[in-house]
Amino acid sequence: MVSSENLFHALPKELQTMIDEAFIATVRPNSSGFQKPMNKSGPPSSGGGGFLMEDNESPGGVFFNDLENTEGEGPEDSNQILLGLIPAALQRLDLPPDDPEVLAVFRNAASGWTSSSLNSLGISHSTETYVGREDWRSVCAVLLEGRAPAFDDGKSFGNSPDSAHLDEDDEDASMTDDYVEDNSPFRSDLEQEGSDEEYQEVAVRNSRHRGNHITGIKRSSSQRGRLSEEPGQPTSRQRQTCLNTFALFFPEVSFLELSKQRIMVADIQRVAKLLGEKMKADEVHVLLFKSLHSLTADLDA
Amino acid sequence: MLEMLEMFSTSPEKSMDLSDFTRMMIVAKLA
Repeated sequence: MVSSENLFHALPKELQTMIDEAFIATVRPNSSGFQKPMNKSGPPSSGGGGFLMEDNESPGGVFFNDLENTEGEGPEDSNQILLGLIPAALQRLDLPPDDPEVLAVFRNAASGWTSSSLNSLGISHSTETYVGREDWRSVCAVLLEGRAPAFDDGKSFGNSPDSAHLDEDDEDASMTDDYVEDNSPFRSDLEQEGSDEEYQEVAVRNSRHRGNHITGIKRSSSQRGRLSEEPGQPTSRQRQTCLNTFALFFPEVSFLELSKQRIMVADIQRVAKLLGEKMKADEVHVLLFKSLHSLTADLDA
Repeated sequence: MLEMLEMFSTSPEKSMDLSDFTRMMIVAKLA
């Protein structure tokens, strides 16, 4: 039995990186999370190499710890995340942001953490509790453990430069069995392109980091824009789930035509009629949401 | 149900397209 603390380090490096990246990006929504302008005077290769996603030699935790040191920020800034930001961080990992059990674990973890800097200043922020990075890693390791085999399987396909992206695509395919398109493990490049925008975004971010490393050009502003957009955007899994649920309203419509459809009042009434019950407006509301929920659960199963 | 359509619809005729529907699903925490 591996403890949850060691579980994180037993995960594939890609998953470790994803977990830490979600943490960093959420803790510092106003920074790139990887490079600061204050490092501008140094040679690009001196501090930059450690941050790069494609650096397969160093485990995720190590280079992020290095990062904290080089940035000269207090460890409490980098190693703690506000409890209220946990849902946003979870969503970055495409995990349910509102699972009461998961949030309860984080609340318990956070109960022992308060910002030391705030305490030292005597500022009363008793409602602001923080989750430590180790706790974040431990919980995420448990939650994401199921994705690990997909990463391991992906490695067996080869060590091409794009293998990390392949791993991510394979991982996603294994998580959702409700894809419309054929998700065979031997998909062509063309199919990959349309398969998962979220992970392509990850790839874009990674490639940007590479670009910064190579050219030494700081693009923190563009990265900032990208990162700040993400929490409000549905993940690829959410989009797919919604599309599938949306399709239930239009069983006769092909998937290609689906995006042009609109749910009208008549459709709601038709669905309600289909369910074989007469309901008042409030009951429709409740039942519709419940039925959608159960259908969604079926799709996710 | 009209209220629900009104709440999430972005169109004057209270219909709901896929983007509205996606937003509703996420707000209702169904996705």
